[in-house]
Amino acid sequence: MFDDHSLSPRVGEQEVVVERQFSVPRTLMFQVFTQPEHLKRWWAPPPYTIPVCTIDLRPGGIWHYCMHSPEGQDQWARAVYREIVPPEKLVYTTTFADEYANPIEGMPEHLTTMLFTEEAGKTSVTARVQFASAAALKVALDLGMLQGMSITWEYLVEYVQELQAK
Amino acid sequence: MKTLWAALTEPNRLHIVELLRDGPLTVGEITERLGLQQPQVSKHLKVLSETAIVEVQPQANRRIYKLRREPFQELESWLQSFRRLWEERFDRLDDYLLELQATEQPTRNRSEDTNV
Repeated sequence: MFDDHSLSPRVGEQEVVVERQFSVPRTLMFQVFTQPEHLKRWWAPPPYTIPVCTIDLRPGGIWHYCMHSPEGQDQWARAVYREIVPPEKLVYTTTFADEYANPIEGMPEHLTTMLFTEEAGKTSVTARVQFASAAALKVALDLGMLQGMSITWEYLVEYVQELQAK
Repeated sequence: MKTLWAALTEPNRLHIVELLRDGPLTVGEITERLGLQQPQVSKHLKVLSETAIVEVQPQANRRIYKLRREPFQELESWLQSFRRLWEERFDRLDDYLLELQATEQPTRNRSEDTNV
């Protein structure tokens, strides 16, 4: 019903696909996406840091990390691996968690599929992120600590209550 | 924006929005397609009107519900923010990989030296 086709409000099923080519072999790229010592160096948007990051790289295994704000706030996230095909593919679901890697109840998850393809020593990385709902998109954005917006526990609690109130 | 998320996380309301994507409908038509009771549908439509997701157009003696464009433009801009988040993440990854290769270079040269 929208004249402008680009709007296409597929609210029930949103996805974002971002692709980039890097001048490194695929095996190194896979390590950079699956090893804590690498992820700690580039995953979080500055000024956030990742003081804690653990990875259990197997289907059903958990990637658990903490994003630390300059104000001293810790925000934990966890991803559960669904599929691991080194060095080609990673599929995982992500949501907010506590410091013990328990997911925050009521928080929607989003699904990420990472594809790594190599050609002439260069690796193309495709991130496909799927949101089951608008709420899942919002959680994903919050997880990314969008543009210096700091997420407090109070806000999270309020948000979860809002979700559960329906 | 928060109210938009709240309004759409209710499955029936999301379903109504999905139905209205194909064009405006009356309460009766929505009720029929959802297989719910009319009071329930009216309640959901009230929430969707209050959050400005749908608007009502009286037509003769009927009330036609249709989606408003603005909330979805907002949703689209949130999606764009998410895309930007990943673009920036790729920028950081690029910087990090350059850094990695810069530190790896001497190591590789050393190992070549020992082979000689």
